[in-house]
Amino acid sequence: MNAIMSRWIDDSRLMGIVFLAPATLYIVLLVGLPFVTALLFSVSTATVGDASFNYVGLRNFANVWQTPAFRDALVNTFSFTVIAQICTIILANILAQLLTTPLPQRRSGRIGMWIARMLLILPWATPLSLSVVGWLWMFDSKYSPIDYIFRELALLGPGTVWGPANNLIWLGKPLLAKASIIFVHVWRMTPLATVILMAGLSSIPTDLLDQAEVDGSRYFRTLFQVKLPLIMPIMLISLLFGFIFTFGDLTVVYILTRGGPITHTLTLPMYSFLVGIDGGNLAQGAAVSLFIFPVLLLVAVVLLRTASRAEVR
Amino acid sequence: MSDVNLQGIVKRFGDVQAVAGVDLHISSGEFLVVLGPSGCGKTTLMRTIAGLEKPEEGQINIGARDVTALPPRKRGIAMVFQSYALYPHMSVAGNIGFPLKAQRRCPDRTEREQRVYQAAQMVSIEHLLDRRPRQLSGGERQRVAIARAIVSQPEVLLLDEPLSNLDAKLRAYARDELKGFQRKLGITTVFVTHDQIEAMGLGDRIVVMRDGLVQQVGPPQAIYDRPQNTFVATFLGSPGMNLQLVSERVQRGFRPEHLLPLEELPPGAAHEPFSWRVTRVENLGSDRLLYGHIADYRGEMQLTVSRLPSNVTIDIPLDTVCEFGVAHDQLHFFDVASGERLAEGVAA
Ligand SMILES: Nc1ncnc2c1ncn2[C@@H]1O[C@H](COP(=O)(O)OP(=O)(O)O)[C@@H](O)[C@H]1O
Ligand SMILES: [Mg+2]
Repeated sequence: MNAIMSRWIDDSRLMGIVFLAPATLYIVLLVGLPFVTALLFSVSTATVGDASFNYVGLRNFANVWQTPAFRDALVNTFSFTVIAQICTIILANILAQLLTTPLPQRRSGRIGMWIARMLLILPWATPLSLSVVGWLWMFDSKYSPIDYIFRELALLGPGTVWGPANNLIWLGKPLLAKASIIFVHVWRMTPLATVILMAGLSSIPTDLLDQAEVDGSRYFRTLFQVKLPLIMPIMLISLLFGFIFTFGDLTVVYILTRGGPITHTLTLPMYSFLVGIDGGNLAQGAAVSLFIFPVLLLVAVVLLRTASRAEVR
Repeated sequence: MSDVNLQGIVKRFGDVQAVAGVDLHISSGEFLVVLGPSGCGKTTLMRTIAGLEKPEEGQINIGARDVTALPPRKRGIAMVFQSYALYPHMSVAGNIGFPLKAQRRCPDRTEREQRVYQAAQMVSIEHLLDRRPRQLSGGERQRVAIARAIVSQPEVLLLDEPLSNLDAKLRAYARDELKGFQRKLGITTVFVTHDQIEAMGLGDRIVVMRDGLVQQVGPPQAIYDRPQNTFVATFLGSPGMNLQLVSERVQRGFRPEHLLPLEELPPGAAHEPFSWRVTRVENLGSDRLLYGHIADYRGEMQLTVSRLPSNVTIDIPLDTVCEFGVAHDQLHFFDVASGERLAEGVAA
């Protein structure tokens, strides 16, 4: 019995298969199958009511491409993602700098830093749907606390700069709605980016920073010419992560605006959902969602190549 | 060029006193070596001079200026770290030029490039200017670090074990070169090392440190010939001085190279005879090390070493009583309790 067991365990091919099986199964069932299904749907006439397969070639893609709503969704998806990433990386850099600044070795300072780091990670640790519902209230057309603060500051309301209305109606105006969605994405991604950058910053040898100080370099020169170049690979990784998360995200738009007003905040995942699930046209919905795929594939390839190069250094 | 004056420097890390009250004067243009075992506070002392650590007590003067409260960039110092701390993302030229840019003392680009080139030439690495640090050997990295340190013409050069990452052969060569160009530049230099051979070979003066305190300061030969206490006596020399109790209060010390067969002692010199059995011989090529035991005043045997130069070819049979001796003027006496050197007259 034991002999058989140990022969199995020593057989590296067999054990290799056993160890790889769960991950392979997971990928095939939860990623591969849906992907293939989407591919098949996108070249068919499938609807929610009728999933039978009629091959129609690339007609769905052509139809989708000509829809103005799709064009809006395409532009929005890119612009939201890019703007959100730029804001995130700037904010995360500032936060990471602050949170890795050595404090005077006092107890209160260390506890304060610990609390600050805890609070920082909260937006990332909260389930996204919950926190976006929170933001839905923050942006409420009537009871928005943000509007309340502006009113108290005499910026909003009759006879003020932004008046005479009592509310900004965040999610009801095209530009504000776009800004709100980008803001929530930034709020959501910043913690992870900050933590990644903090890890990068604390991996810089202290000798190097001391050397910069001895060389006469001041805060901003050390930041831009020593610290940032050194954490550039890891910063790129954090950027690409953020890109993937934001690009494919449905939750934020779905809860806040469902793409409105009209199609001003429509994104590809949202549009795909509206067409495919709400509208019941599975085939076109699949076609829309497949536009996301090449972009994410490209980003993923860049990400992996950057990561492997960062390791070598 | 400036002198450096340290007065009562104390640096604590929590409960640890890394530097426990150091007074030191480094003359202008001097090559001073700080020597001590690892953990004795050499790096901390150096970082305090550089301004990277703020001392709890004491005052630092460079030239006529009190720099105690000044940041590193206002002290006119340059430092080479043990790790060389080259910026990995910059070329060699970028590394060497960085202090010039950072200190904004050389705004003109062509002049800056010229000074970078001159500094590189000084340490013969002008052909490496376009390389990245990771494409360099250990010795080349060390040169880049030195070029970067001298490019801004500092008043004081601080070197923290700059040779300890080099292999033994390269180290001897680098030592010679370092000394040569320090002479040429005449720059006030503080060199930290735990290697006594490096210290003896390089220093105009040596400072021996232990547990954050200065044990002895002086020219290498003077420290070797007249160690101030048993720590210095045993730390310097390889192997260190033999120590032997001669009474409850007094310890006697003599260097291995002074414990010689009677025939080898200077004729007519007054000497202390030792009869001992050599139990082991190590032939090092240039010397022979003899190990054996000699009884102290209580009759307890103590490990003792003799070092014979290779021109002493006399045959030393193992486990046989041999007659050796130490010339009287090569004997040192130390207080047992404090370890301090006793004045010559006291012991006799
Ligand atoms: N940043 C620090 N924090 C706490 N203790 C330190 C720090 N730097 C040095 N020490 C302590 O101070 C003592 C002297 O260290 P160091 O100056 O590095 O010695 P050396 O360079 O002679 O080996 C050691 O006991 C070390 O543990
Ligand atoms: Mg050290």
